[in-house]
Parts: sequence; structure tokens; C-alpha cells
Amino acid sequence: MDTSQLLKGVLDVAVLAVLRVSDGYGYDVVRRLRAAGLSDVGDASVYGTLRRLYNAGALTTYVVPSDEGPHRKYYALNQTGRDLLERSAKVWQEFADTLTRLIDSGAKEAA
Amino acid sequence: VNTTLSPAATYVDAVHAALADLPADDLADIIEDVRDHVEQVLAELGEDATTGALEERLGKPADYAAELRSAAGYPPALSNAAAPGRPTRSVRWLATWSVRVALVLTTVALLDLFFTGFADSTVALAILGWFVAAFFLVLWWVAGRRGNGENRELPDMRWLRSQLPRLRQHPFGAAVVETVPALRPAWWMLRAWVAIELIGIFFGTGLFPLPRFPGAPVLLVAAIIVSVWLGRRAASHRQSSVESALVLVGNVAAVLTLLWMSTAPPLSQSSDQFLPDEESAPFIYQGAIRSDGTPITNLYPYGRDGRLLVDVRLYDQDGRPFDVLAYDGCKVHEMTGEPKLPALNEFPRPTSSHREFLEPDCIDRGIVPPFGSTLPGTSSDLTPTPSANVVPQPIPEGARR
Repeated sequence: MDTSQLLKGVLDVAVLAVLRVSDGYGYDVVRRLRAAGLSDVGDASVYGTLRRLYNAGALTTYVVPSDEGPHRKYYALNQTGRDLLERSAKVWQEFADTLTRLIDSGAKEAA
Repeated sequence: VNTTLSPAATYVDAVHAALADLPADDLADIIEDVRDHVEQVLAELGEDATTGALEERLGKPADYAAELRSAAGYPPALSNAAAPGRPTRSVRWLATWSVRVALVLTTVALLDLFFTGFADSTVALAILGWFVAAFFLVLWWVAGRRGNGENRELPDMRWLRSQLPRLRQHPFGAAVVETVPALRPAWWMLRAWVAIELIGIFFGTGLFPLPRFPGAPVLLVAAIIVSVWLGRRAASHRQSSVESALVLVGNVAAVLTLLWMSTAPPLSQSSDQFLPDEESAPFIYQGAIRSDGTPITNLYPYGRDGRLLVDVRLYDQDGRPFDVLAYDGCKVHEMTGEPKLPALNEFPRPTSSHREFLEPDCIDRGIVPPFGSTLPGTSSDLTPTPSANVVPQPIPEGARR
């Protein structure tokens, strides 16, 4: 099964989780998701997700001047974002548990 | 596809075009992110940073745009969304060309300033050109706001941006690129001052160091705050492309005004000297005017015996020196070049002929009474000596308004 299909539904949670650790700019978030093992994540999807979360009021942005190259826009979680992450994480946990149980019971019956 | 653009600019432009129907403010933010993204990916690619390599890594611009669009939760693109409507397209054309015309007018004005040193009309035309350009830019901006967005960036600006990396590679260019940002705050202050001066010019008040209208210092502080705010916004790349185009237009207008103020004689003079120009214009109208509206520039008193009286000083009913203010004589001494201003209520005054547009010199014609030294019909033949050179006299403070 293609993980990129799975990712679509949970990319918000992944992005929120990465940003809870520390603020980051767009490409930084892409890199950290990849480093965490989500190698199939699409760059444009991450940027789109950041935009959606920002439009939803879950993120704030601020600009950090840099000596080399252009100034960089950092994304940060605000309270709305933290609440959203908490709720989404709970939903995900229940969903994952359910699915794990389902797969496990199926495996036992087959055995 | 423009081959002179860098791979990054080409890619970003294509993504921009594919997302053109998104709300303008969102689009500006998104494109800012995409530009940053593409530049970082290109930096990673290093040597083989070609458009092909970029597309291999990120996908085709259209696919990238579609993926971003769906992840961001925007509705899918309509097939014709990228094509701007006809009104927007013509406004865009007008904006582009008005900026180009204004640039040409500016060049003409600068050449005129350089060669003749007196370029009021051409500079005024150039400033007018920039106002027209600003008008069309605002129109374009407003047109783009009502949905049906498009790549709202002047083609010329895009070209300029694509030239920036090339400039950075040049050692001299790199030094300039590094030094210029340090000078920005000084420029922000200066342009705020110029904006206030423009209001002063408009109302024809005195100009230095601040225009003489009520509240000018407060307005200057406000203008500085706005100017610095705009500058910091631009420095952190938070302006939409039209906003930055407008600021650019304002900057060009400010530079032109500064040039004009520093080179054109009427504006560089302090208003303490009475020149027939915009600065002293309100004084002329406050002075004596004939009922047909002609300013009175001179008075020739004759005595009962019909002889011209000279060095007469006139006062009004309140004992204030009566001056007509529209002084027509030479402002500087012919030989020494020193300022020459008679007491303002002293009549008759010497007159002069100007050849201002060809040569700035003033030919002193001395006192030229309309009826000669004696009134016709009187018998006296005593002639006063019309003084060709009126001795410059210090003007007592009270003699001035």
C-alpha cells in the first residue's frame, strides 16, 4: 500500500507534531518529516498543509532575518494549533488502535 | 518560456500562473514560500541546478501547484482560471506601459536637468507620468482583488529580480548589494521629508527646513513612521508585488523631487528672497493688486510741481510699511553678484528685464517712470537723476512682513 495515500489524511497531525517540537520554516518542516521516516511526503503537500493550518488559525508566522539570502518565514503553533493537535492525536490514536486490533484479530483467525 | 530567467524564477512563475485564481493575499504568501522552497532545493542541487533537475525533484510546476492546492484545501483550478479576464489584462497592459513611459520621461528629465540645469517642465512631466503609473497600478491591484487573479507582477520587475543574482556575482555589484541595505533607514527618513515637502510645494508655502503650514512637524513624524513601516515590510519580503511596485513608484517620485529641489533655482532659493515663483506667489496676492487682478509692481509718486519723487517711503493706515511685494527689479547686483533688495516700501523701484529662460541674468533698467521724470502738462524741466544703481540697503526687520 502506498503510504502517500495514507499520508494525505494525517499530514496535518504530522505537521502539527513537528511544529510542536520547535518552530520551523517550510523546507525545514519537509526535512524533519522525512528525517522522522515519512520519506514519501510531497514538498508541495507540506507547503499546502502549512497554508491550510495557517488559514484555519492554528499557526502563526514570523520572519527571521538572515545574513545570507532572503529572510525566512517561520511557522509556530498557537493555542488553537495545540488544541487541534491534541484532539487530532486522540482521534488518530483511537483509529490506529482500532485498526491494529482489527489486523491482529484477523491474523489470529487466519493462524 | 523566457530563457533569460533563472530556473528558480521560471519554476516559481509557472506555479504562480497555475495558482493565479487564489485570493491575492494568500497567493502572495504562498508564492513567497514557494520561492524560498525552490531556491533551497536549487541550492541543494548545486552544480546541476537546471530546470530539468528541479522538475525531477519537485515535479512539473503544474503538478506541484495542484498538490499544494489540494493540500491547502482550495477548490481545484478551473481550466481557464489562469487566463486573466480581458479588463484585467488591459489594465495590466496599461500599468506596464505607463511605468515604461514614466521611466522614459524620467530619463528625459534627468538629461534635461543635466544639460540645462533648469528642467521644471520635464521633471513635472515625469512626476505626472509616475502619478499616472501609480493610478494604473492601483487599478490593476483592485481589479485583481475581485477574484480572477493572475500573476500580478510587472514583467519588468520580474526581469530585474532575475538580474539580481547576476549582480551578486560581480565583485563590485556584490559590494553594492551588501552596502545598500545599511543605507535604507536614512532613505526612509529622507523620503518621508520629501513627501511633506511635496505638500508644501503644492500649497506654495516656504520649504526649508520644513514647509510652513500648520502641523507640518506632526505630519513629518507621521510620514516617517509610515515610511519606516513600509520599508521594514519590504525588507522582510512581506509586500505583495503590486504594493512593492507602488512603493517603487513612490521612491522614484521622491528621487525626482529631490533632484528637482536641489537643482531647480526657484526651489533651492529660500523664500526670504522675493522671486516671482511658486514660493512667493501667495505674497504677491496678499500684496497690492489692481482691481483687474494685475499685481502692482511699482509706484511712481509725482509732486504737485509734476516732478518725480524718488526714495519715497509709503506706510498704510496702521503705520505698516506698504509693500507691493511683486518686486520686479534685479535681485542681485550686476557687478558684484551680491543680493540687492531695496527697502520694500521704498518707491519708485528700479525695474529690470529678465531673460530667465535663456540666461539667468537680469538687466537693471533703473527707474523707468511711465511718464518720464516730469508729468506731461507741467512746466518743470528739473530732472531727478534716475539712479541706475540703487545702493543695497539692509532691510530693517520691521520693513518686512
